Amino acid sequence: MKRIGLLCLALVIALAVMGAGYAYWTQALHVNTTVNTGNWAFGGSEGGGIVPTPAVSPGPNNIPGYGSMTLNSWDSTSFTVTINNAYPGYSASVNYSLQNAGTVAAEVEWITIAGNQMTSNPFSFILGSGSENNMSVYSTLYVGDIIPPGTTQPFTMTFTIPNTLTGDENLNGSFNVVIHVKNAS
Amino acid sequence: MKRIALVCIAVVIALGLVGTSYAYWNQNLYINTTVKTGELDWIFCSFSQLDVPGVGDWVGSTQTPFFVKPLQMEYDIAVSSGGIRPGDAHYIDITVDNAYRSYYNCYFFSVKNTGTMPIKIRETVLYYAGRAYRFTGSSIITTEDGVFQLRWQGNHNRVLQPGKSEDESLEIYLLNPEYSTAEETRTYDFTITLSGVQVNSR
Repeated sequence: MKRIGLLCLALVIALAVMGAGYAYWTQALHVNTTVNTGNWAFGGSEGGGIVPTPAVSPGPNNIPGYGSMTLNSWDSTSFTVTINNAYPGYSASVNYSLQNAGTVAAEVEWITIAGNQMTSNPFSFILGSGSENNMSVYSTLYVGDIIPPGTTQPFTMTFTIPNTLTGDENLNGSFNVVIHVKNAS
Repeated sequence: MKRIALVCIAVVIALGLVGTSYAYWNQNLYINTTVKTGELDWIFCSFSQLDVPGVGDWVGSTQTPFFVKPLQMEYDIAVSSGGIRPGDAHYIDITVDNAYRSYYNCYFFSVKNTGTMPIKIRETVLYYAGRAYRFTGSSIITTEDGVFQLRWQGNHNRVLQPGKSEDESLEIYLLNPEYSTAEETRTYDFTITLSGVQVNSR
């Protein structure tokens, strides 16, 4: 029994020595990495977005004193405008600025107008129940445009009623323009 | 079974985290727009005429233009009736009955802008004997059948603001024997309307 005990002890010591030797012939190299992700701040609580305050301006060929555009409300991700007493040939613009307060570039991925993809600029569509295009939107900010980080850039969106004699009278319609911005990478 | 449930929960949590991260890196900007258009409309708002019932008729000058210095007779022979069309004030209907050569009458009426934006009267249209005669300014014409000479006076292409009205007039002269092909015992009908367009139209 003593012999068996000695053998066991020797085996344990041998295994321990082997372990030390193994450790001796290897080396762990540690690469310490710190990953800091960028900051997305393009409206909302993170900052950036639509800068105070959008301004409205009448088109150059309007009938003086007739037709108007007013800015009803505004925050960093939206604004609301109303056009009153418009007529064929009337146009008005909203001048606004977008601030990219983050650290990554922002890119316009898509724009929809009244639920339709903005596939041309200007983009014409039917507002209300008419049978022909009676509204046109032109945007200086368009799909694919990049807004670099840390910059503020001005843009204009112009709303026009085509100058035809078939425009809808007494129309009362609403639509949304949605500009989808994503990180540019 | 417990292991499968755990895996499912892990997948759901992972997908949720992916979604949160995606939403964080993009933003929708909204421009909410309401558009209300105005109204373009006009009506004839008044009508009167020189030849009134019970009073002597008028006859034109014997020299051209016949509208210069018409003379009033003591006899009331011709009957001219008419007015703004009931139910559609865009028209004036006139009927001349029992008229005779040299008969003269003048119709006065006003046009009112009842819309919400300024208009201009581009032309006045007179329908007579199946033809349309268009006046784009004060002018004198002879009808194609050679019966009447007409003089229109009005301010075409002048801006008429909403709520405002403007006067126009139409004179008719039944040509005298030297010029006229007028038939006896005939009733003559005229209809007048306008082309009012928004002021910035081309």
